[in-house]
Amino acid sequence: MREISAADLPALMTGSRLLSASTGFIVDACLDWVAELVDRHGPVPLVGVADLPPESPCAAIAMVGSVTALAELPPTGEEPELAVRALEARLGHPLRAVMPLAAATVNALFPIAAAAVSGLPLVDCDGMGRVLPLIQQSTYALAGLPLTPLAAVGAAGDVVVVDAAATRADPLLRAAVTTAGGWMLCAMNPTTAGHLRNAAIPGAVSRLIDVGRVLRTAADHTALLDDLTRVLGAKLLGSGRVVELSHDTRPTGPGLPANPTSVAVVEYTGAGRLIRLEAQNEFLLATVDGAVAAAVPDLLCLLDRRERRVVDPESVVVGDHVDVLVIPAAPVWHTPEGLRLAGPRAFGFPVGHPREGISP
Amino acid sequence: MRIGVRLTPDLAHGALVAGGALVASRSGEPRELLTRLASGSRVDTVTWDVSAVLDASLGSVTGRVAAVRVLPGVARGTALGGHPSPLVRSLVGWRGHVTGGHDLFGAELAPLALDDQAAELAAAGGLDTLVVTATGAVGRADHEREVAARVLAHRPGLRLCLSYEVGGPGLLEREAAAVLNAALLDVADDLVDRCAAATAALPGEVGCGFVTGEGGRVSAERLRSLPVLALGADDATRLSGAAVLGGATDALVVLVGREVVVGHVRDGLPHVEPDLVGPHGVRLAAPRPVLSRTPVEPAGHDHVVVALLDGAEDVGDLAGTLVRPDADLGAVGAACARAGAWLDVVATADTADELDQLRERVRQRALTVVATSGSEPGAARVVADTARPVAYLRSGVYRLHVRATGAS
Repeated sequence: MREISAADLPALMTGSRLLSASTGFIVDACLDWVAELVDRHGPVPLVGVADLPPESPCAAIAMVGSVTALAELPPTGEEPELAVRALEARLGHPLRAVMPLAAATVNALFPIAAAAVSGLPLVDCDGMGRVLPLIQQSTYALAGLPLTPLAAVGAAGDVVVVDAAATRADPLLRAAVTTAGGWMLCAMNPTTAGHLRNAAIPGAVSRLIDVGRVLRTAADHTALLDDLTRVLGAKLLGSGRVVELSHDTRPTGPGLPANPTSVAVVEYTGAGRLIRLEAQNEFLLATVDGAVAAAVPDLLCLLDRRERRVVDPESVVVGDHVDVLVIPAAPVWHTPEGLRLAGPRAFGFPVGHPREGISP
Repeated sequence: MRIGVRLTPDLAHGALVAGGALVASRSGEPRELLTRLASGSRVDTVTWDVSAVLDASLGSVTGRVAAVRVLPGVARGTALGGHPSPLVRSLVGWRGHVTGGHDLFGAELAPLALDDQAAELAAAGGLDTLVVTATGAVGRADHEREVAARVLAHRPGLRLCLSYEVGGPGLLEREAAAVLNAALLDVADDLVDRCAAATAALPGEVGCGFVTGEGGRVSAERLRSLPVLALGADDATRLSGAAVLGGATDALVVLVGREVVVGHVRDGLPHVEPDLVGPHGVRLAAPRPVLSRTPVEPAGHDHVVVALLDGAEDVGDLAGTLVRPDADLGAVGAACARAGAWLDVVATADTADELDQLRERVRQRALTVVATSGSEPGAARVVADTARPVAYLRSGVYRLHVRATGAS
């Protein structure tokens, strides 16, 4: 059994930043806070799902909402315990483990905080393997695990329990999130370890720590790209300069937060191909000279060529020099069911995924 | 003619610039430096980069600032109740908490509960300066203003720094900016007096301004109340100074000295972003130049300006305009700094028309700031204007950045 100590957290954050570009003091503060919790309560056991008795109740922990809102309204530190206790009270029994919904930046930290304060192990798995905008867009949901009841806690002390069908839970929760200040910490997807075995992306937390260690030691930009290819199977779609940003370029996807953005990148080399990225919260679709080259659920990632940092749709600006990377999603996302739930059509694009029709 | 001066704790470095070209440069005591540089010529402006002096003074003002956060809940533990920056922690000698605050859209999260605490806050742990940072103040500053009014009623002489006056979204970034600002007020007061007196000693009516971290120029009075704006100005002036000497207004600038520093100049201004890590590892809401200290290859169609500093000779494979400056780059950049403004706003717009109107309002605000910073009438213009959807908030929420500049 592996443990997560305070010393593992910087590598975890580096690895998880590939999935989300969130930075700023709030991420530093959350990192310090979780390190403080782990120091106080002891290292968090990181267990494989098969290591738990099948009947062990467990639930996913995730912040739902905006990191910009979190940066304006930091957590009080009570949220993880309150969320776990509220879900336990609704379920009528205690949890025996928690797991991430989408281990990216602060959402890689909150499950560790919940595990530390509750004295529970953290399951070494993930429900997205990247960040997807809707809480029902998870491998947990894909496997039929229930999304609700879920308990959500805000920094103003609000506690909300949602009992609803999976498709209703997200809009109901978003309304509460807006009122609570733009984010809430949730305990959701209540299940058992036995059911989780075929529903989770295994080894996701330890992979982030391992990837983070590799990235922190990469000597230069070329070595970084080589490492990403070797460790994550990343593929370089092209390198170039951001020449255009435009907003509200297409109808919004059903029920998605935020507004769509388009980013145009002109390649340096050759004929200067035009790479166009369509985004809404995350980069969702990439076309090269008009042809679909990559799409969600694979992770589209802009890597700043100068700063060695991930650039997200919120931080990209005209003039940025970027590598456009595609990191393949977990195989389960390439099944017909996976693509139906989180492929390009699920976000309103009338196109298929490049891998559609190919056996995963 | 314009003079730029980069002031350090030991020495002043000056440059006289006319029509974008370097005329003369020298180092020395500020007042004598200005007189010798002007050498009888008519000087229109003197622009000071005082960031090195402000930066050096931070070590001597530890524990001088009291800070209160206005939040709906009380933070548990040291990490969330304090600040992740060691520098900010060292400057804050007393901390308090008041229940209250708004969300990003101006809705009240908790009523301001100050009745039992106003006297304690006014006492500020025996300190003379209080920083007030309320969640949501960037959109609605009512609670910061209310705290200010109530504590001043108890203690009229207390100096206050309200976070909404200093920065944009991000409570901890805004608090850091306000704490540094508060800690620097006395130093800035003295600096502004000295620089203004040296400028006034030149013949004629000479404008006195100061460079900010984003490379713009602000008035002496603005710097006196918001000295934090000047932190990091040396990075901005070195980039723009190298571009000026390289004859470029849009360029990738590579400063090769004891280390390699790479930045971008666009339209004569350094490329800046907010929330970047600056001196002492502090992230400030105020923008600063985007710099890379790792060697990078020039990309695409960049015009490259390479400035060789500190006797450096080796430029590796870099090709571009080579500059071996005869003058202090920061002084040249300061001389060429123009009145500037940077606004960082989170706001909602439900339709494309509303977004257009919102952007126009923010552009006009930025132009007004430039005009009131001493820009020549009619010269103010917007040089950067972005509206980016805020991820994972409801549709229609945008973060707007507008940068404007003028001639001064």
